[in-house]
Amino acid sequence: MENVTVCYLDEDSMKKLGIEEGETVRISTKHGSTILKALKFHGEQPNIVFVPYSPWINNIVNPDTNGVGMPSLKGIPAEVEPVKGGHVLKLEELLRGILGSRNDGGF
Amino acid sequence: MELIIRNGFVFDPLNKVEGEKMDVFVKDGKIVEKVDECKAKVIDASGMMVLPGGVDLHCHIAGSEVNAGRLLRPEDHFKNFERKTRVTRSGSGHSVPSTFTTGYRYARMGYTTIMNPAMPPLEAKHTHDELNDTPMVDKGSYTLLTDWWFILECLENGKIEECVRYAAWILKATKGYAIKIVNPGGIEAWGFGRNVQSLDDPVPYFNVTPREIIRALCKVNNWLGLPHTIHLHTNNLGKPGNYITTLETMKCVEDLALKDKPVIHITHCQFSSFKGSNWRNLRSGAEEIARYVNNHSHVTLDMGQVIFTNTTTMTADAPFQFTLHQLTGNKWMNHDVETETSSGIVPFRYKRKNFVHAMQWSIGLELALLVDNPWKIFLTTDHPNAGPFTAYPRIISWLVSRKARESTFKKISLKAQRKSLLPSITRELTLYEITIMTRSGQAKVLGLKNKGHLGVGADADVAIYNLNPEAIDPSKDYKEVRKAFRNAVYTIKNGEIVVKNGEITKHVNGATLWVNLQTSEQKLFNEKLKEKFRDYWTVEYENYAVEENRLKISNPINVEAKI
Amino acid sequence: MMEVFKAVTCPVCACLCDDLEVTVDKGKIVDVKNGCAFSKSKLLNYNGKQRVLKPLIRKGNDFAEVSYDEAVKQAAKLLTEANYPLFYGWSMTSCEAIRVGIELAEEIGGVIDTTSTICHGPSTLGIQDVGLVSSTLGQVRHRADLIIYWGSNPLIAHPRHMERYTVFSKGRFQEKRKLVVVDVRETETAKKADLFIRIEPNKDFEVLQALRVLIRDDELDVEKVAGIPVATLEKLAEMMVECKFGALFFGSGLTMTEGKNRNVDAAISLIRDLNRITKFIIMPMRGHFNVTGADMVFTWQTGFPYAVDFSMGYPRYNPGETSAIDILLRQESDAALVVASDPVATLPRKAAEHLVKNPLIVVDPHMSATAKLADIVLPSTFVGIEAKGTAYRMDNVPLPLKKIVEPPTGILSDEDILSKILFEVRRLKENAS
Repeated sequence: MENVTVCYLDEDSMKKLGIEEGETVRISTKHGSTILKALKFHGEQPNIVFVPYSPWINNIVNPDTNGVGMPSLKGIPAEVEPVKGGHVLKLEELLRGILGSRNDGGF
Repeated sequence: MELIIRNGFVFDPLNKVEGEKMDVFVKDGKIVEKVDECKAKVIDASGMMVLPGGVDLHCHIAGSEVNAGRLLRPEDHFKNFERKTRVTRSGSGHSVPSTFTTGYRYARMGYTTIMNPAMPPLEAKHTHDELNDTPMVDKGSYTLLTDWWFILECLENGKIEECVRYAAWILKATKGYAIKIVNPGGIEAWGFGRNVQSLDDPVPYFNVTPREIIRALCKVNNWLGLPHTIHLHTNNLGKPGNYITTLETMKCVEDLALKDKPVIHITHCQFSSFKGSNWRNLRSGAEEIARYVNNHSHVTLDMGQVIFTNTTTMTADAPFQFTLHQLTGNKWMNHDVETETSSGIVPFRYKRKNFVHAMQWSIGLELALLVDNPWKIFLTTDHPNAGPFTAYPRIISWLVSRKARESTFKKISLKAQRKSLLPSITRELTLYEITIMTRSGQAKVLGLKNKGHLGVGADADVAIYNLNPEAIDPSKDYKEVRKAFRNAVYTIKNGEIVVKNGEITKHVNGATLWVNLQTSEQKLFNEKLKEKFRDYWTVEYENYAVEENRLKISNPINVEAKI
Repeated sequence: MMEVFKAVTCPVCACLCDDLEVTVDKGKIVDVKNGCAFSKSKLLNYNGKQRVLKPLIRKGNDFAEVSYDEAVKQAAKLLTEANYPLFYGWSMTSCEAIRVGIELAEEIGGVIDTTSTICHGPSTLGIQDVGLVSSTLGQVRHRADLIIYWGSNPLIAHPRHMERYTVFSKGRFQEKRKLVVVDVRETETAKKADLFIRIEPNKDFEVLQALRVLIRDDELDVEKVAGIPVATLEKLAEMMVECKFGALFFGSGLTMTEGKNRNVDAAISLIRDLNRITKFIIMPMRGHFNVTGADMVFTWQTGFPYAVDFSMGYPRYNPGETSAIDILLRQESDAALVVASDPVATLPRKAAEHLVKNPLIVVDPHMSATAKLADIVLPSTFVGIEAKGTAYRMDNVPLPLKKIVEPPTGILSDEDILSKILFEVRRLKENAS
């Protein structure tokens, strides 16, 4: 699961935001925030953070389907900030969070 | 299970039985001479018509093109649905119903055998999977062979025998029932967005003409001894003036006729019987076509009768569908299939007040009434192209009754009323002739020996309609006729009662009919084909063919091919 | 004994490459030829630590191992007791299993939806609005001289697409082709392009409409559209008009961003317009190996491709209402059966939260994130490796999935598991009436 707990920024964005390769960052949107490890994208990608699809980011996408059944999973306005030594959740921690509201207490 | 159908008026044209009051005996799925009267279940058919189960030789009901039509048109399904019952599956669709619903609707009308006319070889598995899910009827599918590169190349090089081998291989590989030809040459041309305009237009990049393709495939058909003739959708279909092309097409295989046996079937002929040079001066070419057919024995036709309704047009004739899209501005699907064929879909509404649509309605009926011999023209709507198959009872009423025709006629476009040949036609078909046009004639031209009749040994596919030919005059009581044919009192499939009073009482599967060609050893030929395979297709040789075990119930028709 | 299986269809993505050569030694796959990295990785490593080998039923925080009979019984009970259960997934199993799944959803009167709902669902809506001008992939290989990938990165997501069907393939009429890539970022595919057009996120609709204007030889009275100089768009329009056969492949870059189905609508309309001038086709780059097959079977059995609601006894279809995400966000479903997908990992968090709040049954070979939160886990075989079946390629071509090796002892296929549940559901209903 290691490879999906990362995000990609181009060199310019990293410089602008003061992010070092391999450092953890917080990505926040209107819907929530998550902490992932930042990697460098080798190509043009100005002002965009690219994140592989995973349970680590399903709280920051826009669930609204605009009445057509499809949430917005790309092109979501987001803020990215460096978080030195941030904690990237383990899968079990994530799942516990999702299950949190269940009455029988989960696992 | 044994059955006695007692005291009905039996119509069995293949055995020359015309409305005689008699009993029909059924045992183990077959018509028999006698059953054990103590054990047999008795159906009292007094005052009713007993017919062989209906046969439809041309209805688009399964496969990638039909399914694309379903996908395209949720608006066709929203208000037309069927609930799940204890015996039936649910479904939806007016002009392109889902598979289960298609089977049930045919069975309710007393139909027991239907043929899907357009199967792209590469997607044959899809067609068969849908046929597996089309219950209540026996069914088959025609393999689209027109502009398959292997055939075009053989023709370029004049290698007819090789053509026969390729055709034999692909019919078997696709579990097809007949050879389908659609706008020969035009489909290959469509690969780069073009079309052909006449029988002698060369096909771009291939040194052949439509005429050569038609003649070659007709020879192939004869050579292989297939049960049906070539099944042909003409060039220039749907264009004013195309009746000339149709006449030329029929003529071009005249010399290939085998005694009195037909060698070519021109399908949904209405669409190919237009006179005139544009849409404004469109006229009927039905007289000319009918005259030719009346004087020749090598041709059969089906109507492709227009129904005034909202429907979905779909054919392998993709350039025609593009024209239709341009003409209407309606949404458009196109699906070309590598090295083989193409298809297109456009929703369409036939309107009474539209001159062209009304002319088309008239032309279909004119053809059916002007062709003298009902064994030569069959009742279809080219479902769903000219209308859904559920409209057949309405067409029957038009054919048997002038009054029925007049009642619709007076509502159509005034200009069409002035140009139509219908007012001059007094002929009213008999119920015997209707029986021929809706089952016996179709079974005969399909070469289905056990279908379309009620003689001893025939499949026990029977339809019983609540219509007393002694008590009614179809000409006057056409509404009774229509009502009776809409819902069979009984439909019997393989000797089992599956419909009673228009309701499905049992879900049965029905078999898939296909031609199992027995050929000589083809090992060398197959090796050659295998070598070329990857250059032509994007799938592997091993994954192309439809295995027989894919068919839920397989009913191979064994044919000894002379190759 | 080494055995080599030829013409094996790859059960990974919707390219469905069917030319794999798989070597099996003592019942284990030891080598895969012709496959891409994903293909090799799946075929060589599918039988990993995450494999579930016994049906499981939740007991508090743990799972207890049970028999299939017991798990099936419990699953059928949960589903029949529910008022509005959701049947979700279907894109990574065979058409044969999907057929049973639809019958089960109909029998119970639930809603059945596929992963299309969060992928190419908007493409379907676009198609239902304007149609689709398309072809099989071989037609592209033989004829296309212009290839456009829009919001799609085949080199990463469909690794053999370009080699087998487009830029690097060889056909009867074409060998050389131009490649255009339109994306918000310079992807690996973009780096190979003759023309790369980088557009601002969420601006696809504007660019597509601008192109519709330009191919009609009209002029645009602005300098830029979505950050792209009009001159660049004019160049692309020129290439489109001049080609003999063009093909545009679009990915989730169109369907998942602002505009959604309207973007697809615009893209299809552009290609439709181009057919008045030249030959052009368009095709969605479908993801999972049988997501297209799910569309197909749904459509022929019910009339609708996904998001089918049987609660009224007949198929109803209204994405936005009968689609999985909406049902979950409205908290309407009261049980779920998940087959061949991992919604906890892929649905928006709020939807996933409602999914796991109610009885949840998972049919999957793996301990997926969803399985970890389930009440009942029914382990299944990998179709295309341990079970046979049918799948549809992204261009609607059906292909056989093969059985190459035996599944772990006692493990059933999706189709068999679903048939067992259906049988049990019918028995329960029979007893109740």
